[in-house]
Amino acid sequence: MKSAFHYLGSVYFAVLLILTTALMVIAGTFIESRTESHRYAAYFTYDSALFALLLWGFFINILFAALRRWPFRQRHVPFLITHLGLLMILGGTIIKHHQGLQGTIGLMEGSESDQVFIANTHAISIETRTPQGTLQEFRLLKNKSGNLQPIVAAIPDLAIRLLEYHPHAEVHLDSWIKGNSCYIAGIPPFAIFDTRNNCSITTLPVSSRVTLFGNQTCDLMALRCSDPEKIAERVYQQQILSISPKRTLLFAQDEAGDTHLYAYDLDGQVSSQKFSSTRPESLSSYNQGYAGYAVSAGISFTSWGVKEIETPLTISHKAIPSLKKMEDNIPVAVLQVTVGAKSERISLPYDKFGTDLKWPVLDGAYLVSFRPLFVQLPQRIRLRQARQINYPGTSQPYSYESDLIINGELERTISMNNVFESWDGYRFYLANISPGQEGAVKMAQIVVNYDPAKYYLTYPGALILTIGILLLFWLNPYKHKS
Amino acid sequence: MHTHLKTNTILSFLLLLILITQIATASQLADAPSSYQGRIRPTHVYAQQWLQEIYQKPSIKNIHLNQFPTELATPLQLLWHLHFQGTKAVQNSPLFAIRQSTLKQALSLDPKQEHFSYNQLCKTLTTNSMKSDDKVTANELASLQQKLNSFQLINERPDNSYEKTFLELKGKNLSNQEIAQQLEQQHPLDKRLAQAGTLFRLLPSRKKQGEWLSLHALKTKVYDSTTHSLIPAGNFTRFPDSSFQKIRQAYVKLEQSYVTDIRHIEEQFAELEFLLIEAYRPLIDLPFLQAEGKQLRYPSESQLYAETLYFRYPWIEATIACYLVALLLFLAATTLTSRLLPIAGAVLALGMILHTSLLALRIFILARPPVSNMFETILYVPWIGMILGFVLWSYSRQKLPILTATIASVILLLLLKVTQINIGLENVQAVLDSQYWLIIHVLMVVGSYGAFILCSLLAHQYLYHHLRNHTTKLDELAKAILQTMYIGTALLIPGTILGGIWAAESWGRFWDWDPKESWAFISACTYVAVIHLYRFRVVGDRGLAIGAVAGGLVISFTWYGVNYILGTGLHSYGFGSGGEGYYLAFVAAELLVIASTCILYKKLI
Repeated sequence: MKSAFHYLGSVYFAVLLILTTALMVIAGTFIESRTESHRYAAYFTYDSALFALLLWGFFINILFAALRRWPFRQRHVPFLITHLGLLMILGGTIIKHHQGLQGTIGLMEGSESDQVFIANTHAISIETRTPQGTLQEFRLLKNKSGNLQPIVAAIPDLAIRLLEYHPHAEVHLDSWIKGNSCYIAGIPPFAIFDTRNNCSITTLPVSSRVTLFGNQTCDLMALRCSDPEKIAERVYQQQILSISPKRTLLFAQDEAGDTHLYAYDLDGQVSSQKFSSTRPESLSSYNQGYAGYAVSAGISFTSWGVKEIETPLTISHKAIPSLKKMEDNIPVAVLQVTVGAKSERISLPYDKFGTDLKWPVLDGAYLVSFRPLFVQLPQRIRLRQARQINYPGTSQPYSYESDLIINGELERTISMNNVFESWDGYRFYLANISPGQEGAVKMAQIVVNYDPAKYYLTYPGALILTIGILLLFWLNPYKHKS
Repeated sequence: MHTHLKTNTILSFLLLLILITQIATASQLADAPSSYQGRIRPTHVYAQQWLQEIYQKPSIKNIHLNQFPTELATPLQLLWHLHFQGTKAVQNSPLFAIRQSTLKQALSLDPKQEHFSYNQLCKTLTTNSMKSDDKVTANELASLQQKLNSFQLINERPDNSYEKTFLELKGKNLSNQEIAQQLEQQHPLDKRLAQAGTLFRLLPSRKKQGEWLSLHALKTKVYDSTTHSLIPAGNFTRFPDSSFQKIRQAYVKLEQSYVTDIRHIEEQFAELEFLLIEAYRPLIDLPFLQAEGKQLRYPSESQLYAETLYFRYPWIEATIACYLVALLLFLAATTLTSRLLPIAGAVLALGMILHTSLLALRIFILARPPVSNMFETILYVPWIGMILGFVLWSYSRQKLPILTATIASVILLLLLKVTQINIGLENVQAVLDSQYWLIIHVLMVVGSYGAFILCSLLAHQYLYHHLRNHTTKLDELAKAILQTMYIGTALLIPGTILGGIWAAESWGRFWDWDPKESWAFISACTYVAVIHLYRFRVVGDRGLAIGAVAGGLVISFTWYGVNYILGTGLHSYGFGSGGEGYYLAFVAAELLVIASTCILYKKLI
C-alpha cells in the first residue's frame, strides 16, 4: 500500500504519464493530418477513455507527490505553487465542461435568435402545432437502441424509441420517383422501367396514359437509366416516327439519384428540368410542414401554356460505411414515435445546424427533427449586418465584423479579437462569416461561451503556474536534488 | 577582453542609434508611395516586389539580361515600359520563375531551366490540358495561371467606348443632362477609374477608402454639360486639387516623351516623383481603412524611407558574414593568439547590431512584433539565442553559449537564404491582428525556440566533448544546457498557457488540441520530463544532454513540422511546403546522434 502510494506520487510515474500523453498527442496530430479530420483524431486520442485516465493519473500523481512531502518545508514552496497552478487549471477545465456553455448561433443578416446549439451533440426535437408551439427534446445517445428519455416532458403520452442508428448514410430527398413507382399528385402512381439491364430493348415502354388538367391526354414514362440525355433522344425519335404521337412526360432517374423531367409536345417541342436528390430547386410546404412538403414542375407547351404538376417530397436513406473525415458523416436515426395508440416509424438524417426541414409524423400532428441540442440563452441576439473588410486592393481580410443588437436595444459590434461580454458573463465571439463575396446576404456564426470557473480557477491557475515555474527557475536550479 | 567587448558593444549600439536617427529625420522622401498588394510602399520597392512575385528575384539575373531589351535592366525601368508600352517587348523574355519540378514535368518544360517566357508558358498551357491530383502542384499551377492573367491584364487599356457613346448620344438630339445621365449609366466613372490600369497605383482614391488608382486614370475624361464636350476628369484623388492638376500635366507630358522623345525623360520622371511626394505629405498619418477597434494609416515618410533602406542593403548577408568572421576570429584567437579576441568581439557585436537593426526595421515599418510568418520567426529565433548567449556571457562569463548561438544564427540565417523564403513586408492575417496578445504569447513561445535551439546545440557539444573525454568543458556546458533549458521552459509553458487565454478571450475556447497547440504541449512535456528526470537524479548530465537533443528535435517539429509536414489546423499563418526531404534527413541524423550516444555510453560505463 505504502509503496503504491509512493509510486503514484513518484517521478517515475510522472515521467511515464508525461511521455505516454505526449506519444498519444503525437499520434493524434498525425492521424489528423492524414485524415484531415480533427474529430477522427480526437475519437482515438483526446476523447478516448485512456486519455481521461491519463488526466486522472496526472491529478493523482501531482496530489500524491505533494502529500509525500508532508510536512511541507520552505524549499517545497515553488514545487507546491507550480503544481497547485496545474491543479487549478485542470479543475477549471473540468468545471467548465460540466457547468459551462460552449454553443453556436448561426444568424443570417436581419434574423434573430435566443437559442444556441451545442455542436456535435445529438437530440431529437419534436413540436406540436398548438399556438404555444410546445417543444420537447430527447437526448440521443449513439448506438444505444431503446426508449429515449425526454429532457423535459412537455407532451403527454409521447414516447420515442430509437430503432436503428447509422453513423453515416447517403440521404436522398425523393421527389417524383420513390422506390419502384413514380408519383404525381392527383393521379395514381405508375411503374418505373429499368433500362440499365435491358440494353437490347427497342421501344421504350409507356407506363400510363392519363388525362391531365381536365382534358389533355398524356403518356407517362418513368425510367431508371445511366444516361438520361440519350434516353430523352430515343423518346424523341419514337415520337417523330410514331403515326399518332402523344404528349409525353418522361421521368428519368440517373445513377446519382437525380430525376430529369422531359416534356414532349405534339409538334416536336421538348422542355427539360432537373430535380436534385440532395437539394430541392423548388419547395412548397403545406401547413408549415405539418401537412408535408411538395416539389412542383412547370410544364410549358405552346398548345396549353404553362401547367403545374406536383409531387410530395419525402426523405430516404441508405446506410454506407462511415467516412474517416468524421466531420462529413451524416448520421441517421430510425425512430418509432408513439403517442397514445398511434405509432409511426420514421428515419431522420442529422441536421448539423438545426436549420433544415422538420418532418411531419402521426398524420401531421407533430414535426420532428434530428439535430444538435439547443439551449436557451438569457439574451436575444439579432444580427444587423456582417461584413468582411479586406486590405485595399486584395482579397486578404483585414477585419471580420458583425453588428449585433442584444435584447432589442443594446447595439454592439464584435470582430475577431473583439468580444462582447454580457453583464451575466455570456461572451459572444465572431467565429465565421460566409459567403465572402460582396453583395450577398451574409451568415455569421457566433460562438457563445459561458465559463463560470475561469476567473477563480483557470486564469489564476495559469498565473500561479507561471509564478511557480519562475520560482523553480530562480531558486537553486543548478543542483541535483539530494 | 571583457572591457574591449563592452566598449565595442557600446560603440555598436551608438551606430544603431545613428541609423535610427537617420530614419527618423528622413526629411526628403526618395520615392513616391504606391499601393501594391494591400500595402503602401515606396515605388522602387514596389517594382522590386512586383518582379520578385513573378521572377522570384528582386532584379534580373545577368545571364538573362541579353534576353531583355537593353534599356529595361532594372525592375523600375521594366515596369515603366510595361506601363506605357504593354508587354509585347518582353513576351519572349524569361520572366516567369517555376521552381517546382513536378509542375515543370506536368507542363513538359525543361526541368533544368528555372525561368520561362510568357509566350512559352501560354503555349504549353494551351497544348497540355493538365490536371494535377497533387494538391501542391495544383496550387502552384493556379498561382501561375493567375500571374499570367494579371500579366496579360497589363495590356488592357480602356477603349474609346466612352467617346463613341458620347458621339452617338450627341447625334440623338438629347438634352445635356440626359447625355450626362446616360453616359454615367453606361460607363460609370468609378468603374472607368478603377479599370484604367493595373500598374503604378500611385493615386489614392477619394471615393473608396484605401483604394489606389493607376496613373493611367489621369487620362480619364468626363462629359462637361456646360461646354458640351469631353474634358479631363476632376480631382478624384485624396491629393490637394492644385497638386492633382500639376501631377496630371507632368504625367501626360511624361507619357508623350516616353513614346516619342526620351531625351529629358529622367528629369520628367523626377518631376512627377517630386509632385507625387509633395501631394502625399498632407495625407501622412491619416486613417485610410477603418474597422472596429482598429484602423490603417498612411505611413510616415520615415517608415517609407525605412522600407527603402530595408530593401537597399543586404542585411541578412551582412549579418551572416559578420557572424561567420567572428566565429573564425574566435577560433583563431583560441588556437593562435588571444590578441584577436577583441576584434572577434567587435565583429560579433556588429553582427548583432545588424541582426537587431533588421528586426527593428521590420517592427518600425510594419508597426507590429516580428513574429507573424515563417521568415520573421527564422530571424527572431536566432536573435533570441544571441541575446540569451549575451546575457549568459555578461552574467557568468561563459563564452560557449554566445558562440553556440552565433553558430545557430549562421545556420538559420543561411537556411533563410537557401530556401529563398519571401523576405517581403506583408500584411498580417486578421486573426493575428492583436498587438497585445501577439507580443505576449507569440514572442514568448517563439522566443523559447531560440533558447531550446541554443540548448540543443550546447548539448551536441557536450556529447562531442564527452566522447572525446574533454572533461574540462563538461561542467560549464552542462550548466549552460540546464540554464537555457530552464529559460526556454519558463518561456514556453507560460507562453502556451497565455496562448490558451488568448484563445479563450478571442475565440471562446481555452484549448482544442489544434496541431500547433498539441506540439507545444508535446514540447513542454518533453522538457518537463527531462527536467524531472534530472532534478530527481534519475539521469545525470549526459542524460540531460541527450534530453536536450531530443527536445531540440521536438521543437524543430513544432516550429517547422506542424506548418510544413502536418499542414492542418488553425495556426495556419505561414503554412507552406518544401524542404521535407532535408528535414527528414535532419531528423534521421539527430535520431542517429541520440541512438549512437546511448549505445556508446552504455559501453563506456
